[in-house]
Amino acid sequence: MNQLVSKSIATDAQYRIKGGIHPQEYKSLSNQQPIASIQEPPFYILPFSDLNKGSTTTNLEIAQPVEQGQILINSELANLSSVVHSPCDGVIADISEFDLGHPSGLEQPAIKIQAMPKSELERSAHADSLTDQIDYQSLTNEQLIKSVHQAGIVGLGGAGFPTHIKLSAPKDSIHTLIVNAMECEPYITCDDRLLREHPQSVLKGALIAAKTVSANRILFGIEDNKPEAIAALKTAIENYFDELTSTQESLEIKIIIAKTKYPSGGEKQIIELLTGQQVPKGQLPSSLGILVQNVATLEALNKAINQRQVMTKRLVTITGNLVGKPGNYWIPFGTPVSHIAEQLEVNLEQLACFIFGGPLMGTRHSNLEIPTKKSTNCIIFDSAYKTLEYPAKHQECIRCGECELACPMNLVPQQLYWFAKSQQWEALEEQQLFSCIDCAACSYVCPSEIPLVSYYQFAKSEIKDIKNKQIKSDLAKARFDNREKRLARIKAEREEKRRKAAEARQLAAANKTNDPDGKKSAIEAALQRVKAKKENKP
Amino acid sequence: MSDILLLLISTVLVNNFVLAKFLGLCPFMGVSSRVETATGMAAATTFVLTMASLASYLINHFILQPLSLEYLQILSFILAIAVVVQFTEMVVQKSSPVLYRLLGIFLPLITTNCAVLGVALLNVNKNHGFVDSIVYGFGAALGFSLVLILFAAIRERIAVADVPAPFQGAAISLITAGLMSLAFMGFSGLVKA
Amino acid sequence: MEILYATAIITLFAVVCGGLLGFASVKFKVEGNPIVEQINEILPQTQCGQCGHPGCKPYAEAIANGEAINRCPPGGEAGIKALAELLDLEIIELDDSCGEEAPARVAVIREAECIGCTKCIQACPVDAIVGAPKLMHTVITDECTGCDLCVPPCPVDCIDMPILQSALDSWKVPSPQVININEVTSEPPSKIKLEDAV
Repeated sequence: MNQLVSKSIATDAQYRIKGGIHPQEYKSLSNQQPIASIQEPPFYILPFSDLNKGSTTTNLEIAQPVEQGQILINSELANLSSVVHSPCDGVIADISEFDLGHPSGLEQPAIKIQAMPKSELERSAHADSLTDQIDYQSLTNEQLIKSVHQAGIVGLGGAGFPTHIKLSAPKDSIHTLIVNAMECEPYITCDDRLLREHPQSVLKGALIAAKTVSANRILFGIEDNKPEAIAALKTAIENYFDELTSTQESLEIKIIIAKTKYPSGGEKQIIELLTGQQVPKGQLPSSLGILVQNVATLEALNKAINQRQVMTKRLVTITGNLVGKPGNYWIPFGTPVSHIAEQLEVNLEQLACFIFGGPLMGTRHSNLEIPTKKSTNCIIFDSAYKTLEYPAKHQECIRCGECELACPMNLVPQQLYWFAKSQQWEALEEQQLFSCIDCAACSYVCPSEIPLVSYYQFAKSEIKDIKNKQIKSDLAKARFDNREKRLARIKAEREEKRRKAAEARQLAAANKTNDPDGKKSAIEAALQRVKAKKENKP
Repeated sequence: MSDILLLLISTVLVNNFVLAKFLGLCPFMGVSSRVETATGMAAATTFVLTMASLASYLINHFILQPLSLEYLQILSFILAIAVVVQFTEMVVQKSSPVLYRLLGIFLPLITTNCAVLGVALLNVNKNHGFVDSIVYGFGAALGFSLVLILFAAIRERIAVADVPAPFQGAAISLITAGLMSLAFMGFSGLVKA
Repeated sequence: MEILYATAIITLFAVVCGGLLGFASVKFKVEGNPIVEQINEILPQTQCGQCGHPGCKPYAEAIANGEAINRCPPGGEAGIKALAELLDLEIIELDDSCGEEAPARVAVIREAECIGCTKCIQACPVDAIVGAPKLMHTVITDECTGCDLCVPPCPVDCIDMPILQSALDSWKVPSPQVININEVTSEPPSKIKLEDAV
């Protein structure tokens, strides 16, 4: 393998994405301070299933003591839910249903842990960090994937998809690893600060991921509003190339800087920006040979493989005009929002609701007792957000077409809105409703302030339900038809049997009328025997 | 050739049978609530109009005129139209039962569509020859189809719009038809009749 | 004389047309009633009999002959809407006398009590029950339509009908037109106050 020393590591993006918006960024609220930590909360609440998919189990019982880093919730390798570890030393306080902020308002099963400090001496082997380093180059792919699964690593960009499944792509099917450092949504700055302060960790994670999928190219995609992060990353990559010996393989590593625009950080959008290719409808980036990972995910991956640290916390941006100490903090999973609000001096008097995620794609909540999850990358406490939902009464669509200009997926949001409103499901599918990424750029530009994405989510939910019901009814019909055929066949066979039996009886009856006592046939048989005897005698 | 083209433009746009002559309004209003139904109706009417136009020309030219039985025109034309419509009905029922169901009563009602009888009689009035008769019938059908499908598309959008209560239903449809008619008046003078 | 000619011509014409149509009607004969198939596709195929007919196909035939489309509770509102669209009829409310729209259920046999009589197997319209005489019976959950037909024949009453999906799994995103700031379903036990809707 030749050593490729990229002279120009950082270049500008040569492709563009259609549409998009330029909302006010609000990044300076939280990206000026270095990363910090907060005091641990008194208890944690950890959900059984991040994505409400796949069945997870626990071996633990109430009042059982747990250690930091101990596996609480198990999940199979193929499941879409991840392994969950204890973020603290403590004792299981409760295993039941809690309000975790699901949009339905329904409670979901979770484990509540009461934190209790343990002395250093009682720590056992599965604590969350070990001193001995491991060279990841010596691990096989299966071992790497198993470690990633056991460390409970999921995508930290917001979607929460299990990373080990993404890394399990068939051999030689992936040639490019794209590292998503775009962070295009307003308010969120955790990836920015992470890159500024721990660029080597991110780079190491990227190298591990690239090795696992045998990619030969790593592209870092980042927006141009993060010059410090770009500089830090550039230095880290240059140092990596400097430290490479001539016998080591090296990859092509580039930083591609895109003009700041929302939603450049979407998976399909970053692929188009960096490579000019569009992911075909209904397919995954792996069909183009591309794997996309968030910087925070790769940093956690590095810690998991190189330092044997399971994932129990992540960087969360706490921001908004009501936060006394805004910034980016290491928050363990399961921390109740009330604790964060108290620690960071949030002005609760003026707070109407808080947002998990960004103002465009995030979810609004009012219950401060809900915990942070693996996918929570930001919490916004801001007086600008006054309602839990968009206003139910909005003005009518004036068919201005602004939404179509903003849509990054080349859809016509106006038509999607009219069809969703009138519940014309077939027309919605023709308009490619399921290509919508819910980025809310259309809702942002709408002069009538229509909550367009709410309509699309409603429509998607209804269509999925209808399709599931149709599958069930088709199956039931097939089984019913088969049963009818089976019963008809049995009936026909019985008829056949009866007919044959009747015929046989009739034949026997006919014989009997000719020969009621059987004497005739006996005489016949006797005569035949005599005849035969005569013929045998000479 | 240019005569035929002029005849076509005249019947499709300038003297549109629905919007300028106000014939065939019954299926125009009744079938145009959805674009699929409208397209099906347009296809059926095109077939019927062209065939009926042809048939009525032949009947008139070879039977009625030589025998001086012109007073039987209306009777025999309606007979011919009824046969063509019945035939079309059978074809539609066989090929697309859904369309048959959707068109419902309006399919046999093409028989009483004044546009069809109108075309047949106008052909006689204008002393159209063989080719002209067919082109006239086809052009009339084309104009009818164009307007029907356009109107159906507009009605589909109106159906989900916020129409004030007094205007909902047939009222807004008729107003729309009137506006379309005004728009088509813009074609007048395009072709010397 | 002329009148005779005219009458003769018209009669001849009519006879010819009649002949043509007769020939066409034989050639284009439509077998069965294809609309029944299309109606059957829309019905949910539970074969439960709540509509008053012994199965979904008989009800589809009845609808094709003019019966009301609102007699199917498992199909629910969505089913009535789909039927109304197909047949160009008006959307009407579900007929209460046939039942209510309820979440889907499945049959579950309490295996310890089963006596192996096969009565439920014979009753199931989709063959979703596995078993044999004197051997235990069990319901294949994925195939069960929740039609309830197996419950009456069971002599030891060992069949339960629990709801198939939890409220969480069957939750659908509500239409934005019904969301109201005062209708948030969960009571937030927090200390913060909500502002009135803007």
